[in-house]
Amino acid sequence: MVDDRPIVQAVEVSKSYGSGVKTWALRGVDFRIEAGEFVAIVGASGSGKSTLLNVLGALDRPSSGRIFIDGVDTSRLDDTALAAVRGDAIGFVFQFHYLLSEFTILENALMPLWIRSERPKPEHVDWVKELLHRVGLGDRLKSRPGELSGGQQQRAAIVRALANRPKLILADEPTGNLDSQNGAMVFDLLTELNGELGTAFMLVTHDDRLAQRARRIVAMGDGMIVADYEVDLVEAEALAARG
Amino acid sequence: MSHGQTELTVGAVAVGVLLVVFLSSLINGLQVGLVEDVVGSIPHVTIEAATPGAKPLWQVPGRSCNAVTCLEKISTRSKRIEDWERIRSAVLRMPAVKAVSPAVEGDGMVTRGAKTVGARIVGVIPDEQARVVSLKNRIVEGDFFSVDEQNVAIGNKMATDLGVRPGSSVRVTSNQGVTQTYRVAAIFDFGVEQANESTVYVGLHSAQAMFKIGKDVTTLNVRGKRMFDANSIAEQVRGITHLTVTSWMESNLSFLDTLRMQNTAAGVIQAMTLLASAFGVASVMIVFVVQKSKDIGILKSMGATSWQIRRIFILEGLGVGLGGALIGSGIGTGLCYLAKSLVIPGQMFGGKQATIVPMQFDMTYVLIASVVAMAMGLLSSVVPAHRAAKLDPVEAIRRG
Repeated sequence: MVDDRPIVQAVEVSKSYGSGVKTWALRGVDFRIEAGEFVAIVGASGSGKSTLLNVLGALDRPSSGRIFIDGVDTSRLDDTALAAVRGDAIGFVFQFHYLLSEFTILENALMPLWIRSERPKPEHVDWVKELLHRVGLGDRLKSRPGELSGGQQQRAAIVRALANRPKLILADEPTGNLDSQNGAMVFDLLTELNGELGTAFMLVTHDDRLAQRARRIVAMGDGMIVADYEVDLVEAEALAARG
Repeated sequence: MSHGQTELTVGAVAVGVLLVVFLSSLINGLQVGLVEDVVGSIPHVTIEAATPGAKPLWQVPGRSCNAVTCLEKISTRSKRIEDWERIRSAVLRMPAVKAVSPAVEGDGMVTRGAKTVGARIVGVIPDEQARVVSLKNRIVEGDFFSVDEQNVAIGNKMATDLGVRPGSSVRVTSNQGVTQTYRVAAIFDFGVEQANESTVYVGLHSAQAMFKIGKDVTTLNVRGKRMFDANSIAEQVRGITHLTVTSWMESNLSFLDTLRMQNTAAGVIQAMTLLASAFGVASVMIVFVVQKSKDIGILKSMGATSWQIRRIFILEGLGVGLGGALIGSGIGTGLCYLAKSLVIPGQMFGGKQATIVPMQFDMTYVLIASVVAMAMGLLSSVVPAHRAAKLDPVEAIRRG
């Protein structure tokens, strides 16, 4: 039987900050990501992109509404169970690599396995090593993050996000801190891994040129989804005109 | 933790442990020395014939002075324990008692040529007396054990005053008017001026003859197995006799108070030291949590639970405690032994060769300080660990 459940589904999700005067970052968002999708989220700053990402990844709890990850209603889970779901189903990539400076590249990439189990299976460790080779870091396994270039660091962070073989990678401006050449390289890598591993990717980006290469684009404004479409159905000019 | 922070926290704990080990050894060394100086040369408990108060003469049979001011002459009533052998064996049967030595004590004087000094004449059986008071390292010259009916031991101050040396002869006169000539067999230094100036040890039978008390004694000196059992021994002895019983603790109350105050002061200093170290460790670790908040956030994004984060910091605290305990007790022990080896030539303290700082080292201090250090590391990690565990990953990553 083919599992056609969405990997992550948001139902009527709202998120507000502040206790007195409330700022609404999300206003009743309905959203779903299917297995293997490659989604770019665009929008002005403060439009709620990052908040949506954090809430979908169970890094943050919504103020109202529900998030289903792999069909599990996360509002019913306590923090420990939520951490487990997050560790198993989802990987995060951020604007900055956030590799732990005291550990080697290999150790950083293995960190999600270690968090799940103190003795990860050898085949899982081998798979992470293969991935590091795949992204061109095969000769840097023993290096510290500080010895790597920005692009290399971000590639290591991507491998780390993939270490537990999650169904979805949530990436918040993964190329935001890189020059355009390295940014394009990292973006290419994400699309390639999406094809090779079948992992779904959802990334927030400011770079419209990169966003246009995603298969699905979600535009946000003022805490709501204002547009959600498949790229090959839309003409590039129309997107450019929208700004 | 990052460079410097680990060293700093381990160092803070190590200094705390070091101070506790060193201070404990020092304070204990001081006390053992002091107690040995004060108590070593006196019996733990003395049993004496009750000294009757001077009675008005109209109460004394055969006397006829009715004036209130007419009092019996004290010295005419001899102070003696007649059934001392029975009491001695009863006291010896008490489990806390180590030895009992009979003695005859009385006043008199010692003469050498034209020089005369007042004296406290103490008649003892040397072997038995040596079991009751510590004579080790207190005999300056000669042999105390040859004290008998012809030989005496005198204090070094009396020897100087009279100008005598071992082998010289002196005349000892009791307040009962009996005089006998003795040879000086030994010179002692009890570290107490009064004893060194006036005490003269003679054989028990000699003293009995000089004070005309036949086969009786005036005093039974008792040594307990532990010096701080003296009060309970005295209490037991009072249960079996109406004689006057005094423990060293009763006659040295202010000294004991001083010891107690010293202990309290030392305890306060040590507790403060450990507290200061604990605050130092805790504050460094809180800074560490702030510095590492984005790492903590990222670990949480990878599915690390609050408990896993908490555990990192608690293990860190334990590690700091363990490291500090090892280093601190190592250096502390070393310092104790170093201090012990620095002696002051020719000076005695507590019946031993005096050192610049009197140290009494005990593994117990190391154990206690180490356990406390571990507890300290653990406790000082609780607040930082809690802060780390409660960190909101979104906030941590955004601010990072």
